[in-house]
Amino acid sequence: MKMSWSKRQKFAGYLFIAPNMLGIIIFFLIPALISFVVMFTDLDFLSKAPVNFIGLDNFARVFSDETFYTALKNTFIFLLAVPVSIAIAVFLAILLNNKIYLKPILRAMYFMPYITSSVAIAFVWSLLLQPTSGPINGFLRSVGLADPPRWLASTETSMYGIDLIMVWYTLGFNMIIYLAALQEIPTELLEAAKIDGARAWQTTLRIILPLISPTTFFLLITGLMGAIKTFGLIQAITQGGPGDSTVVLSLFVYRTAFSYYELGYASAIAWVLFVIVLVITAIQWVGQKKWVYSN
Amino acid sequence: MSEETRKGLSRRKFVALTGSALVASGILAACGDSTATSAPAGNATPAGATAGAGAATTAAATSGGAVKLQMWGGVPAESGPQKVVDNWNAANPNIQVEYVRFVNDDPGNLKLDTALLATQDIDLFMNYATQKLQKRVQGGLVLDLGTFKDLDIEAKVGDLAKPWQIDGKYYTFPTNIAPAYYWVNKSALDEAGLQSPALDWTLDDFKNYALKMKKGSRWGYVPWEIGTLYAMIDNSFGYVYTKSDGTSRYDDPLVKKTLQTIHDMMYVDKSIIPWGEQTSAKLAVDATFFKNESAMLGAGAWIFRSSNNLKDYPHDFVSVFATVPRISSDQTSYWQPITLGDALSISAKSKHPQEAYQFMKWYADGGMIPLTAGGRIPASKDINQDDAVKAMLGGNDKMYDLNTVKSVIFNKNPPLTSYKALDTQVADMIKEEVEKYFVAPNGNVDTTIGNIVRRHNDFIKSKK
Repeated sequence: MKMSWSKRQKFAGYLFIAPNMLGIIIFFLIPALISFVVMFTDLDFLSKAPVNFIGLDNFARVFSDETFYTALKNTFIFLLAVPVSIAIAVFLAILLNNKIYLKPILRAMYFMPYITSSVAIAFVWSLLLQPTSGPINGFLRSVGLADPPRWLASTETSMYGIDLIMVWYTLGFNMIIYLAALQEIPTELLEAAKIDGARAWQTTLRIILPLISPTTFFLLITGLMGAIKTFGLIQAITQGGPGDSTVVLSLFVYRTAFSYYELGYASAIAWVLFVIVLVITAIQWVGQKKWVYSN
Repeated sequence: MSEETRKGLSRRKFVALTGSALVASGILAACGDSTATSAPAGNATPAGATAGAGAATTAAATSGGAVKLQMWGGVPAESGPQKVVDNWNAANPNIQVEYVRFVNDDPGNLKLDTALLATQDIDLFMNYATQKLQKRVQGGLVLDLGTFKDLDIEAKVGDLAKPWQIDGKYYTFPTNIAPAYYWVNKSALDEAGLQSPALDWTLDDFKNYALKMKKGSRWGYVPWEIGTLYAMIDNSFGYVYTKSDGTSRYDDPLVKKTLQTIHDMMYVDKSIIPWGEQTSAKLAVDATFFKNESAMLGAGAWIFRSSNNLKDYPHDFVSVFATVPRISSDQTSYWQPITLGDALSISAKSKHPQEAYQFMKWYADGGMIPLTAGGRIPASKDINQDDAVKAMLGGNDKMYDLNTVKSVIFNKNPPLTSYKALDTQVADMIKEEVEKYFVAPNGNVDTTIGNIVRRHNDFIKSKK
């Protein structure tokens, strides 16, 4: 049987995306769908006990579980790192986009954290943030702060300590994306502004920032999604401690599933997490019409 | 089986159904196939002893004559296990054992459980906690050792083995004695004019010792982990965590006394490094003790691995051993922890259970001696204890106070023959609450205990 040209074209197209699609289907879609079924059950990882459909019991448990609310609060504190990192990245990118010395070296330096292993990051930052003997608090004391924060050693500050590390970690990536966006700004616009007598801050505020707003939107949306799912960094730095002060939702899911083996309950929490991501993304999607520039 | 049909779906049916539901919904027929085939593989009925010797011969033929066994354990290969399997392999050319190390933490145990569930590669594996063993037995992953008629575990290791039973059956052979105790720097004791702690010393004595021995940059005491700081609670409870009416026992005044004393030692006496600093700095605890930065160390036998390693942990003081202090001198029951560990099990899916059993017996009856220098004391009565002591001290007799080695490490305390370890969730919850209290200089002990009791009771209720 002979295929028509357009059919053959289509077939070739599907063939090209097949490896990727297969990967997504096997490793993502099917597990996700299975977890959608599992969340209505009391499935345990090891137990051979019969599996029961327990309807919405897992969800009732999620919303009465105090660890869930702690994790939710911690997750939102953790998300603060995303806008902060983006704001600093814009500033650095604009700076680096000008003529300055050692530009390539600086660029590489800012990007380094992003390609560093999270275990190494955890180790170095634990030392830096040591409350009594660490260099950061040493500096804070030397500039006159008598009682500097105890960072990762206190339940009140540990989440902010993690935020600090997260900002440092994601800064380089955000900055590189912004640098690319800045290259796209037509030079004639900037020249015209100059001729009209605009000052540097006016150019930045009125021309550059609006023109790179699609990038900001992209970074915000992917950054928030990425941050909500972040697990490895926190697991390596504090493992959720001290106490439960850095247990975020992803860590809570992991623990429930892989320390306590309660797969049904963990699936339920994971889907609640999914809904939270969905809502946050939807809000941004609606909100972007107000501030994102498009041609 | 009737139980299954009455109460709900079996695991296998459930996974298969989920898989076929996916196929039906037209997701992708080809992949549905793969889910369906993988499901039974993950849940195959345990081969048990029935697979027995018959399977051994067939597999032997495929692997060039010798039966290959795989053993998983948590001790780094170079700290003894490699020597153990090398010894065995040299003596038994027909049964070759390979040692695989897993890290004994949550991800490591998950790896072991996954491998036990999904593959048939593992023949022997170590359990380090009864809760973990129980999960594995519930999952049908562990061979019931009752199938080996000539094995009498209690005759070998005594009543200490009893806590390792699951529903009255032995699924595991506990091979080592693992007492918990404190390491004390004798030079620091002498400087402070103190005697070795009495066997029945109390928390107040301990507080006093720590305060007197702290000096300059040297702390009085450093714990191995946060649980070490309140282990005396478990000892006082005798591992029974609920009252007769089924509610939490954590409102006992002994709990408050313990937590408050330790908190005071951190923030009033400053004789224990505040827990927040220890944990956030990921402090190397054994190095701290051997560098004379702490006069006492709460740990156990595994410290011998560092202590006998004078190259990496150079020190010139004698180590004295002390029991875990009791909370108050007038408490009616206090049980010094002496438990058995390194519990060796055979996988229910092992193709060579007979050969694995041979290895297991050999291991417990002396094969494990190379691990003794790391502090692991063989539990079997067939091993000469003097030889074990000698191996444990690794020729460094002068570095240890032999009196307390005998009285504390090789103590003759009556064993606790029945206990049920805390559920992992509850143990983690208690750790969380205590940690919150210990990292806060102004922490409130009553709030902490209130939270523990409430959350413990909630958990008990949810499991009813």
